[in-house]
Amino acid sequence: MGSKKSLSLKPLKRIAMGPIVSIYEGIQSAIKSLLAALLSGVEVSGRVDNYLEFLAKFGDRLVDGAFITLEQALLAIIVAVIMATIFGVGRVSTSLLIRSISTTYIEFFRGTSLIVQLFWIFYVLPFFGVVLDPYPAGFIAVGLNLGAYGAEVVRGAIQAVPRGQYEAAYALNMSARLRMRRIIFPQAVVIMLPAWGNLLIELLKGTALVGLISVTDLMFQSRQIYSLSYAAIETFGTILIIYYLIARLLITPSMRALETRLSRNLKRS
Amino acid sequence: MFTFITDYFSQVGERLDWNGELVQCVVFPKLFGTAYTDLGFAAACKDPALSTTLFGALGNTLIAVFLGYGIAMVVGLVLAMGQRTKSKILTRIVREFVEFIRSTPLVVQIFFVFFVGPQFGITLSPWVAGMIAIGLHYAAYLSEVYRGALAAVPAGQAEACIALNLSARRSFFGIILPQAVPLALPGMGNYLIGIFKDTPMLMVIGVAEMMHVATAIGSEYWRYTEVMTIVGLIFLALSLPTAALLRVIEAFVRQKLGMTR
Repeated sequence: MGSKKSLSLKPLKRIAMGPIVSIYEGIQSAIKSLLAALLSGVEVSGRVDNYLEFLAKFGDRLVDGAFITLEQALLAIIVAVIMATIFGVGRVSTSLLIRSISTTYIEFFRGTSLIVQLFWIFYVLPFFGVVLDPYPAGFIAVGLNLGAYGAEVVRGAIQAVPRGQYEAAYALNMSARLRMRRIIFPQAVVIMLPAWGNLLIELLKGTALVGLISVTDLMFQSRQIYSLSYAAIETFGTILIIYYLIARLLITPSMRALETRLSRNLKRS
Repeated sequence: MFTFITDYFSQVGERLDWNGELVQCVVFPKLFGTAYTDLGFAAACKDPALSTTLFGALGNTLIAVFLGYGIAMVVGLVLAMGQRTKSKILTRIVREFVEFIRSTPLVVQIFFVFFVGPQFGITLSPWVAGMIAIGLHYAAYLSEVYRGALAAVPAGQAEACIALNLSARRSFFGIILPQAVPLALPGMGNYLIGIFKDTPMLMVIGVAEMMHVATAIGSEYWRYTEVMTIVGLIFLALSLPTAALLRVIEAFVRQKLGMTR
């Protein structure tokens, strides 16, 4: 074997630049101290008797888990968008080779389940000399999986751009590459955005699985908290609500905003 | 399959164990490059009992798929009809419930159903809890499919029913629903495959489906490569033809009912 290279990406906060790190950590600690201030009157005993006590005892873990989930989701979105763009455009390529590579990628990742892919990347890739830490393995698997779904969305959107746009670009003597970059793709982006909103929620749900390969995300923390407190309805109920809030208050509104922002320039008469 | 791999592509070699001891192992030079398998695992691979376990687990997976989908189809219809009533409050509640289920992860829902019961004195077996969770999750998805299909039936049909003085029940089950079925088929087919790909999540509460057995085998022999690859291939081998078959059925139903597009 010998050539086992360890690709170990550090968590987002370490690779990002200084000011971003401090802002990020500042938000995290601010939320924690806010929680601590709100619950300062609550006495923490051994057993969990009510919900406030539960929050006072495990609030920090929940905040940590939520932030890891957000990091995983953000990194997975980056991977997914890149893969979806590459293979979605590849799917409508004129070259048979590129088209079949894209189709293979899409069918493979859409045909198997995310858990299998996650475990495969985490447990099997080491046999081929690629050792990934749980953290990068998690977001890469989620990103690759959702990227395949996204590629189909990208393909559909490219094909939904009106035929006249192709013809006009052709008449203006644009090369295929320039036509895709300047004319087709920008219009396709506006068409595909609503579908991406749904996909990103699917992606967020997908990140819950990275807990199974011991990334300390919300799901992982919930199992830990449950094994410490045996308060099932508090633990899993809170986790469900946090996921719901991330989806409804973070993903949906930001996709809406992106939609209005991008379609502003493309008003069709 | 296992015999083929071990007989034709393998040779015995040595390597360091995961805790640093030198052990004999089977090398797959042609198939996996530098992939290794312990002799114990290779022996297990040749043991027919192993493959029956994995394929027996495939049976469990399929049972889970059909049970879960059955629950989802029925509950999904209830959720869809709940959003078509005249009561604004009921519509709103059902809508929020569906949105909540659709935007939270299935694994956490499975944990919730499995662990919350005992707190109130109701102990559910992993199978029951898993089926409730997966059935409800997909019921929310299917209710959206039904809702879209029901809304796509032309309004003139409902008006004609009123004109003919048909009862509400008869116009829904006799006129509207049959026309909505072909419209709902594509979405329903997609979620059948979706539920198949989500059954591995049942492993977290110990339902013995394919992925659970695969990780058990993997951790026993400390070799995940073969089992995980085989599980992945089984998933591919089942979901891709099913998807193709569903497309054909869809086209057939459309043609049979004389629907163009």
